[in-house]
Amino acid sequence: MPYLIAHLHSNREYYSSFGYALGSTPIEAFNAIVKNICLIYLRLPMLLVLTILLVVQLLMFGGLPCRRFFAGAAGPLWVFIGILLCQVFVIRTVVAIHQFGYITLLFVFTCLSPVPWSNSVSKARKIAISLAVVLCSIFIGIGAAQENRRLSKNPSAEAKALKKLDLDLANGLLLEDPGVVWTAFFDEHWRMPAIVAFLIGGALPGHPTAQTFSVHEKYITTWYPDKTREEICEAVLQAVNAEVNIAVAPLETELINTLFNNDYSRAISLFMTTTLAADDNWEPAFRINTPHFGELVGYRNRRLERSRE
Amino acid sequence: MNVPREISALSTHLRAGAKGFWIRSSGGLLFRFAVFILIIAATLLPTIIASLDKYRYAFVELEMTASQRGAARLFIDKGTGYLARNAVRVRIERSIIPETYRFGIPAEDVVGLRLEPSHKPGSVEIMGARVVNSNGGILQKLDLGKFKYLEGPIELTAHDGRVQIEIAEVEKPSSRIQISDDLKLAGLRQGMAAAILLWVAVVAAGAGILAGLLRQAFFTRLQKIAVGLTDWIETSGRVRRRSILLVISWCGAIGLLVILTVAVTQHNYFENHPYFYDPVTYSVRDISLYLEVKDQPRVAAAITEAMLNDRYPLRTIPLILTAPSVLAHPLGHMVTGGMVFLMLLVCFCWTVFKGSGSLLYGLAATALLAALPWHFDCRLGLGAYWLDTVSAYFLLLSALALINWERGGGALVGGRFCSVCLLFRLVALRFDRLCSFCLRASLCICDVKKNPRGRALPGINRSTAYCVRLYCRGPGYALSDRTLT
Repeated sequence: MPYLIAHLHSNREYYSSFGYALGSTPIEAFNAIVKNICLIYLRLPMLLVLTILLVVQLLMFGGLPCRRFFAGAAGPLWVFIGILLCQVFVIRTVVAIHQFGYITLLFVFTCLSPVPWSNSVSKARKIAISLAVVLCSIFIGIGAAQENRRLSKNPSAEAKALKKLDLDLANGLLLEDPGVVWTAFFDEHWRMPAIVAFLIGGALPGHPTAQTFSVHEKYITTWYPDKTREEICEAVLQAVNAEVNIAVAPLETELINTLFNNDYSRAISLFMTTTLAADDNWEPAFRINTPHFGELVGYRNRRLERSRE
Repeated sequence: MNVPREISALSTHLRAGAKGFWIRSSGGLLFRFAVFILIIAATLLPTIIASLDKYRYAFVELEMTASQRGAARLFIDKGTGYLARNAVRVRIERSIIPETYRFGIPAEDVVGLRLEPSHKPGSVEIMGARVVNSNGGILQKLDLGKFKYLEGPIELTAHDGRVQIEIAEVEKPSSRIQISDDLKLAGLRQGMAAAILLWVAVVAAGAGILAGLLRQAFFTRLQKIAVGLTDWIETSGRVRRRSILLVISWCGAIGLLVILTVAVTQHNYFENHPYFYDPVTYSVRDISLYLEVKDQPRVAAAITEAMLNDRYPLRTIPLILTAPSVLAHPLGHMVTGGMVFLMLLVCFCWTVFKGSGSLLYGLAATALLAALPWHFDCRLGLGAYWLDTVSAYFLLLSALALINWERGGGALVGGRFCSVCLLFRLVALRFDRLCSFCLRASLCICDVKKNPRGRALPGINRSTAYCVRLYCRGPGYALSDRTLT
């Protein structure tokens, strides 16, 4: 039980610290939910089939079908309704739509809810209904698998560019010694090249223990409470000088204004870009051209190298 | 429960009507044909829409580089001249590597195209131009040699199969070049009409064949097999054992099929697409964990992980104990996710079977659950490393366990306990408090139903219920936002 309580506390802290996607008005949340449900219905005709099955369940199997149905589906319905009400009135979220996954499964179960079949339903009819459901499953499953197979093999131009950026950064990092610690000041991007570098070269580039950059203002102000932007920049520089082997920053400062939507990220990125370019202790190690971030430069920390030697 | 007389009468009328309709027409070939047309059309709808889309729109693709970020506009002449409302605007990025930009154009009779390369001064170089459909199939190649200067402060030069455009530095540059005046996309309409006819024929033929087959020998044979199977289970003295065997075999087979399909698709996705922020966070942590624990005793490493990871230990500890190297694979998380998925299928199948009294319907309903498109989704499904997906499986498992517990299925209570642990990996603290309230309410309902005289709950149920109640009451909120620093 202490473990369970610790688990719950941990999740609570995690989400209340960052407050991701929360705090819209109930009306906005309601609109978002209605819109998303409509979109889901349009995108997934499977739900239409399930709704038909729900009606069939209610109408076909005689002998107080409604009462039996709701008795069978009481548990899922509780949570199902709870999730909907909570999204509208408590969380008031408009973007975290992956929660609909929770609803979808419960909805499926509610539609297929095990109502005891009436004795008047013949064995042949039971078999026919079951076969119809299996046929539905085959068509739905094959359709979904094909659609995702097509998606997986046809990336957009933007996806291709980002994939190439990950690969270029990973190759740049693999040129360094194993155990290289690196950070980026153009995006929240360090994990993707790290995993690519691990899969190519077997070494996982590390990240400094101090938090250095985020595109979310809330994260930065949580990491560095009660500090001005200038103080945060100085703290980041100190951490980078002490721990980081490779720091990647944009070459041109004017592009930075268009990359971020908050002053904190902009200030850190701008400060680090100008400082790293002007500091003799940092030398360019590699350059990458990207359509999104302009030219990126990977700077090597010569101070750390000298201290190792 | 007192039901108003009018509603009761309406319900009886509807039930009788629907039942009558079914009985009257269930034997008819036309009725079956109509039902199968509906089913096939509804399930093939995404494929049909995707295949028709390529006839509804076309795209002008330009491969070009730009010296400045800006916006390019493509003006479309539909026979009424180049109107501003028929222009398509696309943002272009500064780049020395050729980038492909797509301008969507309708499948109506487009006769001419003009381009404003950028609204900012600088240079733009076009290396290739073509009209493609939504699948990337080339409909028409545009000859770069035919690009003509029309207006504005620009200089256009063509050399080595490229078009170089210099836009002079003026306050409001507005430059246009003619890129085509003999576009012929009329074939798209005929193509769309042909595709619609083809799909109608496919759906009708499929429904006809199915209806015919199910009416004739195929249905009779299938019915014999199914009746034989159900008789074999129901008349045997070992009903329960055989049912369990069949349920586990069926769920294992379709579950493994889904997991294999998802794994192959996800592998292709990772080959061609970048990793996504949130799931890759968990993957990188798993890799770090593998590098830490690979040389340690497994049990000690598992205990350390249980103490440190209080968010998703059930996804990592089984792998540490059995095969730590799986943690380092981008799809390694599917081992634990897949196990939960299989558990869910078995539990779902058993619940529907026991609830409806029909094993065949239980197996069929499980197939439908396994075929949900959500599992196959490359960005949100079983293959993407979201904790939420597997939490959703646990959520349903929890609900099913509640129902089975109510029916006396004591073996599933353990599953409920685990699912309660993971139930709270939802979105926010207030959300999981409400969920736990719902769960507690359900527990109370079951409790009252099962123990009307207030008898004590069995041990494990009691501790789970106590845990949920404790959390609902709130053990205190001493930790602040800054605890993480």
